[in-house]
Amino acid sequence: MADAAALLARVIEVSNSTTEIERRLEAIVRLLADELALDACAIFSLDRAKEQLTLRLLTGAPAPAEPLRVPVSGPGGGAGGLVGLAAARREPVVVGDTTAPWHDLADPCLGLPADWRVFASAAAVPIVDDTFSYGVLLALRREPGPLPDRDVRLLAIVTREIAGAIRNAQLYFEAKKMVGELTTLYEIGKACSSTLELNELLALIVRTSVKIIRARAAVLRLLDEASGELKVTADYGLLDVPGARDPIKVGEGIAGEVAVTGLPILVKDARNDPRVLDRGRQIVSSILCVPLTFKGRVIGTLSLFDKEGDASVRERGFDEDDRYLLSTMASQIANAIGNAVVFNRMETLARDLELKNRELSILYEVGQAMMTTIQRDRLLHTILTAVTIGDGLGFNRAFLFLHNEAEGTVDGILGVGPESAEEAGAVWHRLASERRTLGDLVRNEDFEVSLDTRLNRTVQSIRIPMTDESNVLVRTLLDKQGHNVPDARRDPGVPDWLADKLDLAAFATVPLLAKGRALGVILVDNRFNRRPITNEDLRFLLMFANQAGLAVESATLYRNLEIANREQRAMHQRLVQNEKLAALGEMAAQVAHEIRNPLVSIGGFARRLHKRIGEDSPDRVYTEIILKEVSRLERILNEILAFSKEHRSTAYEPQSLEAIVDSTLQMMAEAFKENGVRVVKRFDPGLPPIVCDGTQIRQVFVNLFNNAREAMGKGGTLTVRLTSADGRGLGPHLVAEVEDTGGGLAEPVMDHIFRPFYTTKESGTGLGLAIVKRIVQNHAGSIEVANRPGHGVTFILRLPLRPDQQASGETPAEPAAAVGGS
Amino acid sequence: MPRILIVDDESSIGTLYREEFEDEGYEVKTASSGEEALAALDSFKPDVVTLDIKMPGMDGIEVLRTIKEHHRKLPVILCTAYDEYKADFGSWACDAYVVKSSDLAELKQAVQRALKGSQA
Repeated sequence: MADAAALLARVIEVSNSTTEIERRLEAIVRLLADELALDACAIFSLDRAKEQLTLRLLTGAPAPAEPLRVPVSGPGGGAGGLVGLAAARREPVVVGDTTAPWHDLADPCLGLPADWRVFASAAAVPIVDDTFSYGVLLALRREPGPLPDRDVRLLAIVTREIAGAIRNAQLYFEAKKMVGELTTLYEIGKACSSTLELNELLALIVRTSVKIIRARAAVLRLLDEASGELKVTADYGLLDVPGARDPIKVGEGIAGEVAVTGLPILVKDARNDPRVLDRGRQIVSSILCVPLTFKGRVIGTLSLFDKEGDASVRERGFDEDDRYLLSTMASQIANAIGNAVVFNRMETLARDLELKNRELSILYEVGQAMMTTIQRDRLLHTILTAVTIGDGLGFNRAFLFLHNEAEGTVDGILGVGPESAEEAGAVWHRLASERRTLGDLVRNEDFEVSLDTRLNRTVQSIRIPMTDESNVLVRTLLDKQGHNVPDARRDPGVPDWLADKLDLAAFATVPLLAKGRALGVILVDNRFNRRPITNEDLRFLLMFANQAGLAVESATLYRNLEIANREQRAMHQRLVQNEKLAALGEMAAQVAHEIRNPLVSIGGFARRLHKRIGEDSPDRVYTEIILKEVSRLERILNEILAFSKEHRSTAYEPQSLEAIVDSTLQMMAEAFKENGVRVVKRFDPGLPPIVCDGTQIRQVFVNLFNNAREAMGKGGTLTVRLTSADGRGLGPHLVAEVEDTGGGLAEPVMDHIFRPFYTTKESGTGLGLAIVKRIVQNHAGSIEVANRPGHGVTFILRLPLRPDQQASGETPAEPAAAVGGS
Repeated sequence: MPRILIVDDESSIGTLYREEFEDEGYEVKTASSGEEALAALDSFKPDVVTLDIKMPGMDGIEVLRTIKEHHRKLPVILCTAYDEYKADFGSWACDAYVVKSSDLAELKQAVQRALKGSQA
């Protein structure tokens, strides 16, 4: 027993060592053979199904060429011989003579190699613990006779120890596998929950499965339902052979079969398996392929090639454990992929949303830019810029046409875009390098807003009648819809001249809409990069055009408002001016009246004095000076009073213009004579009377005659013509022409002669002609000046017969502009 | 010899007119107020009257109305520094309206016309 105890101690020591289970068993078997004087010793392992025993270890006998397997014997014996029987009974079977039948066994050595029959004595001891059977230990001796009971009991104890070692090893293996699976699941799970791209996830999956199962290479194929093909979407360690990544049809090859059946396939000897594709058969020894099933549907396959490890492991290839592990992984992987695909779709959706967002932000930015660009022309340019800037809609060129409602035409207004492919390249390069946003460009004043481009001139020469309803521009305006024209040359809506003019190939048009009204048309194309215009582009452009239309509408309203404001401001200024003049006139009138009486006395007595002094008296010079100055003062008084009287009501009555002119000439006859001015009257006979304020009209002629007289200080001819006429917006009217030969006016003077207080004379108030103009306006008439430099000036007055029937009170503020040369 | 009554509150004007019209061969009487003028009508019996408007006491328009009430045919010439009174209804009764000037040519013309008219 001392021996037995020593042996057992050794066995326990070995079985608890940290070497691999195979090594430990080998050591134990050798130990037993030595101690128990066995000629040979073998260990068979029982498979998971407990149906078959496989020879694992052998010492003392030649190893069989083929792997040795024996079936577990049934209750009534069977094909397994004594080994199978021991496994079935979980009891030792001890045979003293292996050549003779033993109990139920006709041939105890059944299933064992023939050359093992040299061993006459055999004992098969099951390797069992209380619960499980692990295999059988076979002890063989050449010498006949059963193994002594003592040895058999010892073997039984030793096999229990072996069972423990195997169980531990199995547990260890299971644990390791579990850890491996957990690691895989963890990694895959991590990949799934992270925001990995699908492609990254698949790459991770193949890498991980290769690592865990220990294979040379892996291929993940996903099923493309549209084409019915399995497409390689990720691979790892694949040899670089032609066709390795070609898609395969469902049903074709191992993966194809797995995709059809949804069941894993384990190919231990790929070289001789007809199911394996030719190209794989030449280079692959073993294949493990599992389906990827998501929600009951096969979405792809995962294939591993060539088990890695030491020589024997490589030889055995993948086993059931690998299949089991990979299948477990595959279910996780499939879920991950499925989710990722869903996520991918979500992401596509999100991208669409983002695109929408981008569109909206562009619209917002353009809107902002347009809001700050009230000036209409600049706004129009902004719109086209937005259409062509890469940041915006990114078309190569854009043209704007507006509906000219007055003329019933569609008119070309603006064109934006490079004029040639070279220029396009340069511009785009510059924009890309400057990285300016649309807002920057629109806001930036130095951005070429030059309207004097060839493109603009070309566009502006285009004018299409609205009656030409086949024309695509007119059609766009009428149906208020976008039109995508892929080939301008073949489209009946595009006349050749238009295609030639704008060099059109493929283009699109959209209406510029404002509150349902089509203001115009935007035409875009990608002349230089030839990018096709998609419906998406068109949709966005329509949206943009809507926005732009509103901005144009606003700008138009704003412009009208501005014009109204400007007119109001001018009106206000005129009113203020009138108020000032009225106040001035009021004051001047008071002063004038106070001055007039003493002036009459001074002048009157000076005149008397003058007459009394003898013709040859030297004192005459003094009285002459007094008289001249007094009459000058009186003239100023009259002018001031006449001017200040403007705002007061006047009495209109039918008068004879000839009589007024006549009496005025008569009154001034003496003055003309003094200056050596000859007066010529050319009055048409039978002139009708005109309704007027005689005093005012008389003042007009007084002023005009005075002007003429002063212009002709050294003599000349004053010609006064009176004729009747009709038209010129005045209806029937009289024309009075006052012509002098005083040499004419200098051009700069011409611009100012009707302005109050403007004068070229040393004496005078500068009110004369201002009063004339005012009075003529009050009579709803007009006045022109014909200047003949070097000769003289002709004032041409037109006075309506019935000023009350003219819009006299509403005469525009700056009639001077309407009165000829003033 | 035609008689002319000059009504003006400014004595220097009165003196000027008197001398001018006397030179022209008129018999002249001056009055420095409306009241004085009305009092002189019956004694002087003028053929024509020149009448200032702005005067202390009765103004020219009032004097004109009084004259025309009693001597409808007597020509009255309003002779004033202002021309605004032309718009005054009260001035319509006058035979001429002359704005004062140191040159008495217009006034003299008006006086001559008035005399001619009254004779006709």
